[in-house]
Amino acid sequence: MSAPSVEKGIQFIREQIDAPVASFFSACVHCGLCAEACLFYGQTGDPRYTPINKVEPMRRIWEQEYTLWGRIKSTLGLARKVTEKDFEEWEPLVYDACSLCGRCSLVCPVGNDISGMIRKIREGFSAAGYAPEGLIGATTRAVQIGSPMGVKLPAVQAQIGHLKHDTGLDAPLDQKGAEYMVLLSSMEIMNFPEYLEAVAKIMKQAGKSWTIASKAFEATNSGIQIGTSDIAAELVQRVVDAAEELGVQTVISPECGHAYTAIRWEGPNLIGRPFTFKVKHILEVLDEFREQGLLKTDGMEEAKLTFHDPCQLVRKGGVIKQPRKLLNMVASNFVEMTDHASMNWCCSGGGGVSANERADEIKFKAFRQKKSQLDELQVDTLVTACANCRITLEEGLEEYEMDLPVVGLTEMLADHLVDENEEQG
Amino acid sequence: MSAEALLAWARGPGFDWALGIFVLGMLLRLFEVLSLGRKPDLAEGRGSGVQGGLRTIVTRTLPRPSVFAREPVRIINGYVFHIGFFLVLFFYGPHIELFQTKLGLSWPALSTGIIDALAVLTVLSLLLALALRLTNPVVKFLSTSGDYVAWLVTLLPVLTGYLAYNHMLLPYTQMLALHLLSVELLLVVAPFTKLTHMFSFALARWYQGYQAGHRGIES
Amino acid sequence: MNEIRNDKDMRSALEGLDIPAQRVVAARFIQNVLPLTDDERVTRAVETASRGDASEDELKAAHRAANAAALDAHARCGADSKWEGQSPYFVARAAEAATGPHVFTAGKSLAWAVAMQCRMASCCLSSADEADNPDNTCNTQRRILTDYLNS
Repeated sequence: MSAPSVEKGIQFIREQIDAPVASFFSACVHCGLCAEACLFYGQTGDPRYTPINKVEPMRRIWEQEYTLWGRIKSTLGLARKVTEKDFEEWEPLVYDACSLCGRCSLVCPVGNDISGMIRKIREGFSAAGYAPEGLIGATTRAVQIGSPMGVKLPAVQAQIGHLKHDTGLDAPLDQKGAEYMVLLSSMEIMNFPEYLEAVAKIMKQAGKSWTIASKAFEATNSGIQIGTSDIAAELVQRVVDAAEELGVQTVISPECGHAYTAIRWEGPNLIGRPFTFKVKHILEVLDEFREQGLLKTDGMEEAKLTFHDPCQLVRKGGVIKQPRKLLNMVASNFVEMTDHASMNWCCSGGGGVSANERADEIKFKAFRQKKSQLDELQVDTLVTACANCRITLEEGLEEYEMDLPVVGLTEMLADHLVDENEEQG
Repeated sequence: MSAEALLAWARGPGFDWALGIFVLGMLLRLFEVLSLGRKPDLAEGRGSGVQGGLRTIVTRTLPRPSVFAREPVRIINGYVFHIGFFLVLFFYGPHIELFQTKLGLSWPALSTGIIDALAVLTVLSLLLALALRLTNPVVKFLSTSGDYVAWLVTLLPVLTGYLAYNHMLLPYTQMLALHLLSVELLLVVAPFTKLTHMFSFALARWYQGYQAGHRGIES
Repeated sequence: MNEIRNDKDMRSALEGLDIPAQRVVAARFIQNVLPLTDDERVTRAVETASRGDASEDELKAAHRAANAAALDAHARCGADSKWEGQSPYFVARAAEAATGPHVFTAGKSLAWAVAMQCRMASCCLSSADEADNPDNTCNTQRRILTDYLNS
């Protein structure tokens, strides 16, 4: 990859402008309603965080180069060219004050996919070298080591060993012909290894063959978050190569938000060809098992609980009904947040925000949106299905001195599975 | 130039030129958008992009409840001046006669009393829209000169039309000429401002809806 | 003489204890891996759990402190992390579970959840042949429980 530069940044932004982007800029009437959907604006009152404003440099490039009137203005010297100063000024707007949650895209009256444009503009910013340090480090590690957090195979192997020893459950590595290939996010490996145990337990009861690829176990795609499609493509290619080599039917994306978006929607477009296997989120798979009668659960939780909808999974992923159907299998007192499902609010840490220390302050401010949702409901437990959401929620709850346990849905389901295998340990 | 001559020009060549610029300008804007193209989506879909696109063109017309709750006045006001403008433009007898002449189409008119009231409502609504634009911190922050130009060229036809019909401010011939000139101004300016949204809104909704329909997600 | 020989026995024995008793046993599990952390908040939380008569408020305060310790020790998203260095995080999570409200009725009992977190804490540092070590965490936990039940 050549060195970053402002010219390169502008070129990359230019390349991101397609018919949809042009239609969005043509249709925008400056109504400002996108701000009303954004938690970063809502909790700070800073108009610069208005979603459409975050892509203003892209709009200027579009106007100056792809519209007649803009070209005329340019020729007459009336156009404000995008400069290095703009990259400097907009970097925090594009990375710190946006989690790519997509709520703005859903409310724009003229139908603009604003968060999609913010994803696109990040390509230019990273090419110009104007991206947060935390994301640059994560992306470098992802490429060189295979995980944005530097997690290597021995860590996975250690957990697989622990799993076998302490529960008798198998997590086969590199099993050719397995039906499912399970990906893990570094966040899960490091912070929520219960997830692996839960998957193993569920797969065993469902009687499904599965495997983890030693060469491509990482689900997180930092390339997507920083906005460097070359790197994002490389990370996806690793997974694709492994899946095809092992001949699996379905690749399972774990409880991680952007991992799903990366592999499910962007993946084939990044590598330039359709996949020869299916891609599903773990909840989609679990719900299929439920429908097929393969999940036998026991007991219902009576604690009052609610579900935080991970943005990439629900609003942007369309996996809306599945977590609800699964939760209703094991919970008798599940209440919805007022703004729920596709209109739920971001945890405040998605899209690379939690990996960006500079954004900590604004992230905690934005979290007050989630706090207000929880204050309204007064539940005993918060359930979610994304490791990053989990940590972000926990940190937010701690910051505001709220005592509320947060649990993962897959883990919760696994805890309720009827213990068919009596031999353990 | 006498008022009669100005009116004759505005009714004749002026209108034709303005309409021509409007049509060509809008076609150019459409071409500028479409010619950029869109890469095909290679990800496996769950549903129909076409259905998503068409559905979104319709459904985005209504606001999400949680956003409406935050800005009810501004949102309702937006409907008022859009609907008011639309009804006055398309359901006033003399306007329908113009469409008849130009397009060979005709349809029933609303009573002039209703049109008159709608015109007043639309003007007031547009004035409120300006006030809201100037006082809401987000909207004011976003606003450029283009927004104010678009506002003015939208207001003038409704205002001058009302004044002409009610024989107010200036002698009828002059007022009518002004009305027509303001319409021509709107037609000529529209393709170079955000007023392109009158057509591009459908494109934008279509594109996002198409992707959403393909993916099987909400839009 | 009850001897806990395997995890199946361990789980059912733990499930048979009431919550205060589970906290006491859990505290002992954590004390076994306490050297893996130097966070005072965790030590104090474990101390609170080890007293069978801790009040609700004391447990709540200890829980909050342990949670804070866990969050401080967690592997930050996107940051350079080492699996070998994760032990303090798991010990803190164990302390959190030992002092926390037992909201869910099914699945892992409070003490079992703590036991698993402790095992994970050791797992970070263990080598491949740990399974054969008679003093490994699992065996030690079973001994702790056996001693508790017989005392």
